[in-house]
Formats: sequence, structure tokens, C-alpha cells
Amino acid sequence: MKTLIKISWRNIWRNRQRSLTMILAITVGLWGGLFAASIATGLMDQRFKTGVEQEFSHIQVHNPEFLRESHPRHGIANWDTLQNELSANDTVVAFSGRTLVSGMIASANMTQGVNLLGVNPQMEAQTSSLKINLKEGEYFKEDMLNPLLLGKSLADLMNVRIGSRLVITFQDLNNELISTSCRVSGIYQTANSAFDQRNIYLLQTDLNNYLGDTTIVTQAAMLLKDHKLSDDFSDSLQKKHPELNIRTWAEVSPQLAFYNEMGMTMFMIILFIILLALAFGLLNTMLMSVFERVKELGMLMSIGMNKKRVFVMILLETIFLSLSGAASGMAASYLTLLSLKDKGINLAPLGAGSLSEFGFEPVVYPQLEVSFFIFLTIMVVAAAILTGIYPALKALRLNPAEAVKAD
Amino acid sequence: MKLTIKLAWRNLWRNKKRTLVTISSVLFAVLLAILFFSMEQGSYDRMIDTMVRYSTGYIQIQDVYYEDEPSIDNTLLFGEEIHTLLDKHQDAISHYVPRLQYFSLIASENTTRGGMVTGIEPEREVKFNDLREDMVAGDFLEKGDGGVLMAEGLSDIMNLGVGDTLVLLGQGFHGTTAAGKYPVKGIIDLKIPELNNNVIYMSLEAAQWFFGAENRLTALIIMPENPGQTQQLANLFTGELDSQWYNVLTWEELLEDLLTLMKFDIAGTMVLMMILYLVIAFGLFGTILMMMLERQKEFGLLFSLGMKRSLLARVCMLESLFISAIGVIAGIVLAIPVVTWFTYNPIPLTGDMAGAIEDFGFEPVLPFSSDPSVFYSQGLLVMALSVLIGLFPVYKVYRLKITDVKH
Repeated sequence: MKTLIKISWRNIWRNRQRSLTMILAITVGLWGGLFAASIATGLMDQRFKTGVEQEFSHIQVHNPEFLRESHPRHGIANWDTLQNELSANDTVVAFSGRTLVSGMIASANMTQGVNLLGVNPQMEAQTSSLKINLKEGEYFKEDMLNPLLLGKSLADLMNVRIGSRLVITFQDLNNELISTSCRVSGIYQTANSAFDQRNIYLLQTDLNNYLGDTTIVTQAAMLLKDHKLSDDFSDSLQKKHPELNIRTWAEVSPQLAFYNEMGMTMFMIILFIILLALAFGLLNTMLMSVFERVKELGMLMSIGMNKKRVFVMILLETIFLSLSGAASGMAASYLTLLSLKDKGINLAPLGAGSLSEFGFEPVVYPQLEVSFFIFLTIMVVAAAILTGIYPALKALRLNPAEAVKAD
Repeated sequence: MKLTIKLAWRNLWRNKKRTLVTISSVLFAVLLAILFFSMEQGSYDRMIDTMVRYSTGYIQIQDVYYEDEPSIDNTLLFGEEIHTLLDKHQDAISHYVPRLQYFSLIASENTTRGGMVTGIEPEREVKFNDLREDMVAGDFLEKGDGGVLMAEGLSDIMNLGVGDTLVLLGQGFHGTTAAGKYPVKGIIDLKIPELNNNVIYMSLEAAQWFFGAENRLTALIIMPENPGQTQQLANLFTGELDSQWYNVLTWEELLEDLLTLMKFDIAGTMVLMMILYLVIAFGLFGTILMMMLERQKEFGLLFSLGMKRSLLARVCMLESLFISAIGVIAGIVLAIPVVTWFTYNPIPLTGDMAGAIEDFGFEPVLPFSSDPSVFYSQGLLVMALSVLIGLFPVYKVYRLKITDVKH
């Protein structure tokens, strides 16, 4: 066995060009697979984060009646208790209690139906990216009477600027229609222009005053340490508060869940396709290398090396080549990922440049979980070794007498 | 030249095994690239198709100010000029769908909220988006109907059912007050929460009367007989209508936001495709490099016999052209049944969310596109890659030193 290992190792370096080609093919294949997976994860993560941070949060809590009737009288009953519980829990990174009322907003010549969200500015800034998404003006200007924040698409539609006066109309707790004038303090922009067109943020204290009860909270949104904890945390919270409706981001937005699910499946297929391409490239390269070595192998057999040893020798060569390729592939991927971690890949030259109009950078940040990194490496090495078996078997079938005559 | 072709062709079949391995490399590359692209294109097409078919239509004619300021004052006169246009192009138009849509207050006994009142011509609307399929209670509208259809979510919020009466109060054409009392004729499930909590349908005639906008529309949706001719048809319309009054928009303009956002995904996928091409290219390169190593002796012999390098280079060039062409054509031929199979039997999405996704009206599958462009674009690309890599042997032929050839 020791001799065989020595022979195969020497064989590899006897024909450098061939061996380097193989190692390069495996390196590029592994690098391609890992890089593709990291880009896919980065793309998915970006979409998920945008959805969660701008719109849905990880978990939303409502009074079940509120979801059906959307009336502010169906608030979260024990908000104070719940609030203390959430602050004490270290799974919850941030949360925001909001007052959500549907109403209308009117400028001099246009009226639109909107959601009015009364928020606590500090809590909201920690929970959603509202403050970060502010494009113009101030985040709830202090000396302004009834300051409001509205989305860019709505501002464009209604032709309003910072400081413009708008009239909002909604029903209070006693079903009386309330109209009051507000001033535009800031204009925000998310990636979803339909969301921007529908949601208007006010100070919770202002809105609750008009509604007739200063303590109402109809919607609580929270961010957790890790989105994977959403299901478990929502279940445990639900057990403690059976009277509340508690939903994870996936239940709040089946659309986001759908894109996640679809993206996941698609990327798995893409990875599979890249792995297939890699395996096939390797298989052909190995086959070719056996064709080239017919004479050499015939010689070895003629001088008495038995078939089993020839098989093991070729297999060992393949394993050495695969491992070298895997090592350099991993190193190349690691360096690539490291260098792109903070900078990301700018997609603007590929036609995504116009995205900056939407106020977000057309950049994808590749990222990969360590477990996936290792899993993929093992897959590639396994694929390489498996593809090495077929050419080795082919070599077994050579007839030594004819093989030595090959040119 | 004839001799060169003959030589190249015979070289191919002199060593069948080697040629077949190389051809299969190209074939597999084409197959995988086509599968990848078809999947990508399929989901892209489906998203656009859903939007166009259920929401915007292929072409819309609007009042010239409506796009900037979608108010009831900026509505379009559905008069003689438009009718003449529709008659003139009736062969190119499959059907048209007039709509009058504006915001209004909706009130029941206790609840008041804002919503979208949409006036439709029932028969035409059904042709456009199968609205009737989504009815959950009551009857569908008829032409000139005096009743309204309520979206299911809205009817829950307002606590109204079939046979109840609601009051609409809003702003009509040129500042008039719009008010009316309407019986609820049916309930309709619009699936998407944004719509489902906000929309009321009534017959176009009733809506025009309500808003005091006789013969006026917010948009006229036009579905061409051949969707591929959308742009040409839109250009014709633009030319024939008075641009002082009318604005002709295609789906590309109407869905501009969505299309811009999609560019991010498309660019991300392009990076993934480049990785695939890279892996494919290296597989091919490995195979061809091995082939060259194997043929060094043959080349050395030919040179010794006095064959000109330029002639051999041409033979090699032709060989790689033949191999690429055969591989690409065979790959496309093989891809046709595979893609056709996936087009009719798309890959189902599994996972916990599949059921919930279905409830929201999405089909939980990964669609494939069998558009001819998928086949030839990928075929051409791999052909180009393969010919480019085929230049390597040509380079080698010029560089080969006869004295270095082994054996």
C-alpha cells in the first residue's frame, strides 16, 4: 500500500500539466459552488431583511378582534404587562407598540385612503428601519404640531413637501369622525412603493389623544435575536397569552414566505446544476487522462502489476488531486468571501443601477454559513472521487498486450 | 480548404471515444445552461404575466394628467375619439376593459372607513381577470347594476353581508359631492390583503353617476390580440390620439417600479450564471487540454513529415468548430423534451408554507419557460465559449517544439 501511495503521488507530479489542470478544474468548481451559494444566500437574506426590517418585523401581536374588524377599540388588553415581559426577555431585541387606525389623508385637491400608525419614536427607530429610511426632513420634528412622516410615493402623488399641511380623517373610539390638520415633518422611502403609499406615521401620543384614550396599543411588532427563533418564540408567547393573536413574519406576509421558499428551492437547484456541471467536467477530464495513459498503464500491467493495484493507484491519484483541489478551492473561496464581505458586489453594471432611485444600494453581500461551506466541500470532493471511479474501471478493462502498442 | 475539412472530419472519427467525450462536455454544458435559464425566465415571466393579466393590462389609455396626479378630476372622456380608435383597430384588439376608480368613504351604521370604489363593466372585467371565480357569497354584477360587490375583508371590517346597505360619501368630478346608498349584492375574495380590505366594485354606469363623471374613465385597459405587438400598437395609438388630452402607457411603463426592483434579482442571477459558465468553461478546457496532451506525439509526427503549422492550426480550428456545433445542437435537441416536461410539470414547492401560499392564490411551483429564445441564447453562448476554448489547441500547435515531444 505504501508503495502504491508513493507511486500515485509521483505519478501526479510526473505529469505536471495534466495534474494542474485537474486541480484547477476542482478548484474552480468548488470556488464556483461556494461563491454561488454565498451570493444566493446574500440575495435571499437581503430580501428577507428588507421585508422584516421595513415592514413586518419578526413577530406581530394583535387582539384577534382587531384583525377582523380593524377598529381601535380592539386594542391589546394588557399591554403594560406584555411590555414588561418583553423588556425582560433577552430573546427580544426590540419591540414597538403602535396604534393602527385606517383613515384618509387629504391635500387641497386629492384624498387617499391610508393606514395611520401612531408610534413611539424611540421604540419604532429600534424596531423598524423607519428612521434610517428617512430621505428628507426630520424624524418627528419636536416643535411641530402633529408632525407626520409619509412615504415618498405618497408625497409625490399628493404633491406635498416638508412643512406642507395635510388633513387626516379617521373614526375615534366612539365612531365619531375626527378631522385634524397635520404637518409633514419627514418623507421616508422603503423598497416597496405600495407600502410607502399606504402608511403614515404620527406620534402615538397625538393619535391616541384624538382617539380618546391615551393608552391604546393595537399592534405590537418585535425583533428577535435571530429570525429562526420566530416560530418557537411565537408559540411560547401564545401559550402565555391565549387571548392574543400572535403571528410570525411568515404568517403576516405569506408573500415574503413564498419568495423565501421559492428562492430556497431555486438556489438549491442552481447549486445542483453547478455541481453537475463540475462533476461532468471532472469526469471528462479524468476520462481523457486515462485515454492518454493507455500505453503507460499497459506497460505497468505487462510487467506484472495486477488489476486491483492499477485500480487503487488511479483512485489514489484521484483522491490526492481532489484533496489538493479542495484545499485550494476552499482557500480561494475564503479569500474571495473575505474580500467581499464588507464591500459586496456592485450589481449596477449588470443593469441594477436604476435601483438607487429607490433609495437602496444595488449591492449584494455574499455570505455563507460554516456548516454549508463544509457540506459543499465534502460534496465536491465526493463528486470528484466518484467521477474518478469510472475512468479507473475503464483502465481495468484494458488489454495489456494491446495497450502497450497504443500511441 | 476541402482537404482541411476532410482532414478535420476524419480526425474526429479516427478517435471516436475522445471526440464523443468532448462532444458530451459541450452537450451537457448546453443542457445545464438551458435548464438554468429556463427556470429563471419562467419565474420572471410568471410574475409579469400575473401582474399584467390581473392588474394593469398590456396597454392603458389615461388622461394626460392622471399618471402624475390620479385624481377624479383627471379622468378620460370615453367619447367618440376613443371609440373611433377602438373600431379602427378592432382586429388588433382582443378586448378592452374600461374602469373608473377613485377613493370614497364607506359607511355602515357604526363604521366608516376609506376604500376604493371601482366601476367596471362586468362582462368585460370577467374576460380580463376571471373576477367571477372569486365570489364567496351573493351574485355577480350585471351591466348597469345598482348594487355593489364588497371585498371579503372589507365586509368583515364593516360587518356587512349580502342584502345589507352601505353609504358611500366622497368627492366627485370637479369638486362636486358624491353620495349614494347601495345594497350589497355579493362578497368577493380578492386574496391580496391590501385589496381585500379596501375595494368595492360597482357597475361602470353606477360609478359614473356616483362620481358625477358621466362617460368618464380613470383608465381604459386594452388587451392586444397578439401581446408581442404591444409596443407597436401603443405607438399607433399615441400617433392617432391627441397628446394634449390622452396618455398611452404600456405595461412596461405601468409596472416600472416592479421591473426596476426585479432588476436586482436579475442581476444577482446573472452573477450566478457567470459562475456556471465559468465552471462549464473549465470543464471544457480540462477536456480539451487533456486531448492536446494526448495528441502531442501525433502533431510532432505531422510536423516532422513537413505539414505546415498554419494548415494544422486550421484543421484544429475546424475540429473544435465541428465538436462545438455538434455538441450544441445535440444539447438543444436533448433540452427540448426536458424543458417541455418541466414546463408542463413544474417543480412543486414543499415546506411548511406551501399550504399557506396556496391560500393566498399563488401556485406553489417553480415554473419553467420554454420560449425559443431560452434555447438559442444559451446555445449561442455555450457555442461561443466552446469555440473560444477551441482556440487553445491552435495556440498550442504554433508553440509546440518538435524536439520536446515525448516517446
